[in-house]
Amino acid sequence: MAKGAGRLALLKKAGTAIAGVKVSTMDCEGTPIDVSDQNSSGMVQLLAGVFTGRQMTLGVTGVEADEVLRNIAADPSQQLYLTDLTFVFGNALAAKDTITGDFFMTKYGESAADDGAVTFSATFVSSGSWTLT
Amino acid sequence: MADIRESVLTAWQAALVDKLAGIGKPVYTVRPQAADGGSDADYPHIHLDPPVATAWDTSTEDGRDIVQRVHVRWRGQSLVPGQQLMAEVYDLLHHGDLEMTGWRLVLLQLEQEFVTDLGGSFDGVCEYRGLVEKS
Repeated sequence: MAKGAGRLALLKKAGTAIAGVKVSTMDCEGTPIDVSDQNSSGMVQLLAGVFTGRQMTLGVTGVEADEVLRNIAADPSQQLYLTDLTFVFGNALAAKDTITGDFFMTKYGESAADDGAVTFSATFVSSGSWTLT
Repeated sequence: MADIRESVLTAWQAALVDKLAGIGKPVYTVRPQAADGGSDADYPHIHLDPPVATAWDTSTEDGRDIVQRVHVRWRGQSLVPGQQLMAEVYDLLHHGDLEMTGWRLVLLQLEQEFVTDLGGSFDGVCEYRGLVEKS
């Protein structure tokens, strides 16, 4: 298995990498169903093979450069529901290196310190299933 | 393919020399030296140290975080003329613009400045920080 450089992991919108990103993150989470009862001998028992609340969260932080995400987040008429996001892993794999799906931008923020460049961060959560290809 | 490190530092110093030339005093990147080892530079003058650059890249862009020391050198017993010259450097550089081939200035600002008494002459050290990205 080839290790991947972090800078090669890209979040793209409509096929174009979001500019200025210094750190991109991807988290998958879900909650198993707790079926513990008096017969569980004090141990947690989870319902086999069943998950609830499965969701993927994508995040980016970096130096604001192209206003793409800002223009979406700061526009009150936008629904923040994005159907053209793609996350590419940094391993340059021949297969299973790209995630696509529908995502909500749940958070966008900028910071403008007087002794540095304008930085930004954004968080996206999946809606429905995503695809790994 | 051009060496990115060389090209950004070359562009950076060339832009600074052009900018500081507007003060009307000699601007050196290498100060002229007499055969006996003494200074052949005209006083007062401005001298640029070699810049120190660290990577300021993102996933999609090349960038540099540059520290540049600008020395204002003058002779005499008074601090005043040199400090006035340091103020002129500040007026030109602090939050100013630089025209660089192949690179774009994001930020340029003073970090610190101080004067050292060299005994008969003074060295006014002005340290600036610049953020640049490849254009």
